[in-house]
Amino acid sequence: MTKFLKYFSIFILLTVLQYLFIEFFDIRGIHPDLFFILLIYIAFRLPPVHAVWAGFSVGVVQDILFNLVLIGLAPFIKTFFAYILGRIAARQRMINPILLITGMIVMILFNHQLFNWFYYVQVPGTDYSVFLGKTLPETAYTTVIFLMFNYFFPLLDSER
Amino acid sequence: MIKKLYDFVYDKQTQLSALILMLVSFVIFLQNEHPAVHQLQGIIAETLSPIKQPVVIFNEMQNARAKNTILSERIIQLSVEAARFNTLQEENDRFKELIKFQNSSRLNLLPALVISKGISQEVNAITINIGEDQGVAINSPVINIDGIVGKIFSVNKTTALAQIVTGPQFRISVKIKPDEATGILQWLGGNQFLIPDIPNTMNISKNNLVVTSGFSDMYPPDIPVGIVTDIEQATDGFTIRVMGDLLVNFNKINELFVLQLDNP
Repeated sequence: MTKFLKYFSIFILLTVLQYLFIEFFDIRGIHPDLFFILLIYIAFRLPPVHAVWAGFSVGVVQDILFNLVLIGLAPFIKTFFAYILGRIAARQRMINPILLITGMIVMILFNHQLFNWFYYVQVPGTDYSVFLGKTLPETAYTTVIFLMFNYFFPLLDSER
Repeated sequence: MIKKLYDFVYDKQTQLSALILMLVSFVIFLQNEHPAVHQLQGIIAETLSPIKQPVVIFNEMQNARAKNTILSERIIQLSVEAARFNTLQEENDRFKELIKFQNSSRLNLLPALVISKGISQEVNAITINIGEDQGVAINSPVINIDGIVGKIFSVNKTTALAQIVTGPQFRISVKIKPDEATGILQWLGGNQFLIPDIPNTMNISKNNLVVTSGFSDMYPPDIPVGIVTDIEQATDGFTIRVMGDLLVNFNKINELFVLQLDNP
């Protein structure tokens, strides 16, 4: 219960930060996905089924606050990745730490690419430019913040 | 039997939860055009706007001095243009009187502030701080001093949601000056647009101005949209594709106007 409350409080704080102060995070239209970083930590700290429900909830809030035009997309993507992250977290002791962190970065990339693919599917001829101009910068930005968080709050179990 | 089912559900709770939640999300995603979803979007925007407004106002105050200088310069330029247009308008009025045309409607401008742009600068919906109480209607065009920004798609009592040009679903009927070639403009990513299927007999060149055509019921004619930057031959051999830059900087839209059209 304490862990749940702790992550719920962090979630509220992140929501307030992103919603009210989004412009301060903005670098020429590129924003990090702080909710995905939270989801990674939840998947590694709570049981997988809790991570799945957390992913859905985070996605719903993200859609309500930031993505009113495509309601349903963020919960779908976040639930999917929460499930994948939960499965990886269950096997974290069997995986090399560096490989695991790299895997998280790859998950961040796929999260951004999946969202952008759904969003820009109707725009003609933009797959390559969206990948270079949106997905990669957003992935880099989110990865930098994730690695900073990982430095101060290590993702992996210290008793490996 | 029931125990087996319970054991199965318990063992596979993660997979089942993920499947059900993804299904629910996907169904909601497919129903985005449903009126109930639009209504929900409006209610959410209206509920959240009081929370965001203080931050928006604070940011506005921070940037006020610089914007003031820019706006003062634009006002002087526009005053000169307005004086020229007044002369042309008087001349036009005389001609219209002579051939007894019905006068076109005057545009009423409702000033508005953007209070939410979403997580990405390119998410194609913004929330503005005026709504039904101030006279905003669905499908009202939204402009700023540079040109067309978008149109209203959801209205509440004190807020409204506007779909902006930089979005995959946005389309607008335009004409390219001076030849007045008409086409349907769509967003191409970033601050660029594409107008496909222009007959290659039309004389289009770089730096031509693109404006609204006036053929639509929603957008009055001659509202600036963009500038042509590139022209390329289409594969069919009969048409050309016109690319260009939008005049409005969608990374910095804060003050807007909603057009109230006199004639429906």
